[in-house]
Amino acid sequence: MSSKSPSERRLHKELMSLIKEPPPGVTIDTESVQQNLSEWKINIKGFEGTLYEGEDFQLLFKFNNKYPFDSPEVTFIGTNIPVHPHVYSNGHICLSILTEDWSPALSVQSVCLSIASMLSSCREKKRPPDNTLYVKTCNKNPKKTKWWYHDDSV
Amino acid sequence: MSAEITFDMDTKDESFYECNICLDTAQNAVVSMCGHLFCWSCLHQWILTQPDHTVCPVCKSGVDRSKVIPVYGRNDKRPEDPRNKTPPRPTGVWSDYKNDVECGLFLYLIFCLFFPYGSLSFNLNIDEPLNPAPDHDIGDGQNALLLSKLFLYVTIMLIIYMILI
Repeated sequence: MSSKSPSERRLHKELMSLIKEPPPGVTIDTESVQQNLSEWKINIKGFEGTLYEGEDFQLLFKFNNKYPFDSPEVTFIGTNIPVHPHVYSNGHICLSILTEDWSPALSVQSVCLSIASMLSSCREKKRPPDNTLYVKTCNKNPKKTKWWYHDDSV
Repeated sequence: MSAEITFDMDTKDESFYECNICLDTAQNAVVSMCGHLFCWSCLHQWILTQPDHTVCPVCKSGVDRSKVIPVYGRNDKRPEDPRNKTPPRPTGVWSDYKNDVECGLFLYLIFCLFFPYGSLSFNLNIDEPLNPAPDHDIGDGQNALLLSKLFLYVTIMLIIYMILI
């Protein structure tokens, strides 16, 4: 235990609590984590009574060794990328807590909840207006994008 | 019976003393003005990553070195100085009055060194009549220069004295 780096220790703690008490609609792919502690695949369900009811999505969390001082890289992966004004079709998410509003007191669990809440408050399923251009020109890492957080209603 | 249950809860609920950053029991604990607990090394690292404006990781209230309070438990002996690895926790503020006075005097003397005649005339004017005769200043130009030099030497002597003690 003591040979682990601080970021590994913290990830291990978060993993244990996520397996023990997962938030509603959130499940973790433990196989992926066992292979590599710095990349987690997390499944989230669209909540009942929202536009995404009955849909399943998969998130990929990538942590670097500066975690939790540096935010994780979070993207939607897999075949079903939610159609949402803040989610690009390549899986990149425009959410301020993933970049400039990140705080080390946030966790995988709180990020999952924020994303679930972002999906739940959506009124109309549509892609961001600049989706085509962004997907063509963006960096592979969404943290390299200079995001503009101009619309916090959804 | 109920007292026993409360006691059990108190001893088992260790998460209450967990650092909000590393999620372990806080080591070299500090508490922010907004009441959030951290290890000093964790909070210090967070302050370093946000040099311009650090906010509390939990509630986003402003946080810096001077705005946290160290928490000392009874058996918090720390045989090895944590300063060897991480910067020290901020300590309680204790100001040395004597040092402050000496420092002030020292600064005043430096001021006198650069403006010997200016500060002198300012000081001496207190005892002089409010409206000294105008021709007195003009006629005593050489005297004033001499005085200025004299006080410059006195000031230098005083500064050397201050440095030596």
